[in-house]
Formats: sequence, structure tokens, C-alpha cells
Amino acid sequence: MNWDYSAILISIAAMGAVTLACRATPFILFRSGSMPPVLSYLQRYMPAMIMLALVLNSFKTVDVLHAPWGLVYIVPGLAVAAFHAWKRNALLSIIAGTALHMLLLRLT
Amino acid sequence: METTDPGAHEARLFAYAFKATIPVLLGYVTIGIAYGLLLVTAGLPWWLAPLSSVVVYAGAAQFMAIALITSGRGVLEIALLTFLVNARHLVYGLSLLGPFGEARRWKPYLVYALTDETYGLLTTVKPPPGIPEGAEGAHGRERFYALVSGLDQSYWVLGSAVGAAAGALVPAGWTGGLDFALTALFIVLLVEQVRSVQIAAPYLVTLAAAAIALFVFGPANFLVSAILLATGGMLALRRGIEGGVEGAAADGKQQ
Repeated sequence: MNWDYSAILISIAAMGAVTLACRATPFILFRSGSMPPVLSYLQRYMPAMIMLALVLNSFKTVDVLHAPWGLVYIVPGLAVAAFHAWKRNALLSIIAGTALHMLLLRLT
Repeated sequence: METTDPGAHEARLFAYAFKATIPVLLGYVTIGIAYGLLLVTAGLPWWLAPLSSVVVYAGAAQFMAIALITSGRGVLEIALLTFLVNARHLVYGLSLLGPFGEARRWKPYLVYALTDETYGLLTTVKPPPGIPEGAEGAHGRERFYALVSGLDQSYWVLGSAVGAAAGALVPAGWTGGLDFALTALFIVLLVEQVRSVQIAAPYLVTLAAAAIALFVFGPANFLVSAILLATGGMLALRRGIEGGVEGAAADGKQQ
């Protein structure tokens, strides 16, 4: 495939800069260990909101109106959630769910 | 036994740091392999995997970027999404202001390499015994933190390189559906969040924001618009949510 390598490399560099800026901010701003209340409010809930948004983002193009009604994605997705809530082993949950999805994909 | 031989001391420090990072070794190598495999099966060149793991070194953002780069999203959108996914790092440093405050030479690296897992280790694992308390031991503690951080990153870079190499060798038909590993990773992280954030508001707000984003802004702009709408919604509801949480806390105290 023909990629625009300069665009990709600029994107990677930008990601690195943004990530570093996020990690360095508290060391630059909050020497006293305090931060604005609105930030401490948002940071409490942001990870949960973003993870839900990322999960929904993975499912946004799944076709649930026609056979097999997105079950190839939804069943392994629920299996990962249930398995992880039960065993709490991230690696095992991911491998089991992905294997189930790959199997269903080949059966349908 | 106290030893004055600096070589023996270094070796002991390394052994202690290595032992502390073994759980991260298992996690980073396997998830790094999944990352490298996904990147190559998405059609991207293999060397982007280890390069990203050095330059970016943020797992969730790197996984997310595979889809963004292959669908040709612009650098500004990729940067904004990286910020949103990594915004949690804005507060990680708060609990390490003290420990990193005494670091000198390695401080820039310690800040750059502060992933979720390294944060978890550095805030829970104690430096090895034998390092004196106070200013006298500052250098030794800094070395220990740097070793833990450096070992963690080496596992991640190694895993992503191995995965990318494997992806380049395995026939394409075998790996169809492997990208579900990414969805599974986000589901696992969401389950972890549900365990710690046990009020409904953030999830309901995000679901509503996602529905609006999908139907108003379309699938192509879904992620950014959903997260921004949800953030706006949470800011609008702040008084009610904080009042509710504080009210519940006050009720708890009264009992």
C-alpha cells in the first residue's frame, strides 16, 4: 500500500508530544499538589467515559438490522465483559473473546 | 550485608527492579505483540510499531491510532483524540510530585515514561532495603525508579517489535478478526472502570452523547464528537452530580 509517510510520522510525533505534555503538566503546574476543582471533578469520571466511548466506537459500524445481526461482535463483546468481571484476568479475557470472535467470523 | 562495591550494588538494584516489573513484563510483551500484529495486519509498515512504542509510549492511544491512521484522519484530530485518551495522565503526577521531586538526572525520562502500569508500580512498590532514608538515599531511589520505568518500556517496545515481525510473516487470512483484540481491551478497561466509578451519570451521559454524535455528526466523526459532548454534559450536570456524591457521603457519615 502507498502511505503518506510524512503525514504518518507527523501524526506519531504529535501523539508523542501530546502524551508527554499530559504527563508533564502536573509536575509543571501543581507543585503544591492542588488543582482546580473542575479538573479534579472531570478527571474522576473521564477514564470511565472515554472507555465507554471507545467501546461504542468499536461497535458503531456493526449491522444489527440484518443477519447475523451483529452477533459475531456482540456475543464475544458480552463474553469479554462477563469473563473479565468473573476472573479479572485482562489477558485471558482478551484472548478468549478474540478467539471466540475469530471463530464466529469463520462459521458465519 | 552492606557492601561498598558499586558494581554489586547496581546488580542488586537491577535484580530488585526486575522482580518488581515481572507482572508488567507478562502484560506488556503480550499486549505489545497484539499491537504489533494489529498494526501490520492493518497494512501499515512493521517499523511503525516499535517507533510508536518509543515516541508515543501510551498503549490505548497507540491502539486507537491504528484505525485513525489507516482511515486517513488528520493530524489535529489524532492529536485531540490522543489528548482525550491520555487526559487521565494530567493527574497521575500528583501522587508522584514528592518521589520525583528529589529526582535529578532521570526526572525527564521518569515523567515521559509514566504509563498506567509504571504509575501503578511506582506508587506501590518500595525501593529496595539498604537505600538510606532522606536526602542521602535520593540518588538510589531515583536510579530504582528509572530502572523500573526503563524495564517496563523495554518490554513494550520488544513486544510491539515481535508482534509486528510475526504479523509480517503470518498469512493474511489467518489474522482476520484479530482486530477484535482492541475492542476486547477497551471492554476490559471499561469493566475495570465500572468497578471503581459506581455512579450511573457518567455512563448515561456518554450513552446519550454517543447517540447524538452518531446521528448528528455521523460515524466518521463519532469518537471526538461523542467525547466532547459527554464532557460538556458532565460539566453541565456538575452541581447535581457533586451534590449527589457529597450528599451520599454525608449520609454515610451520619449512619
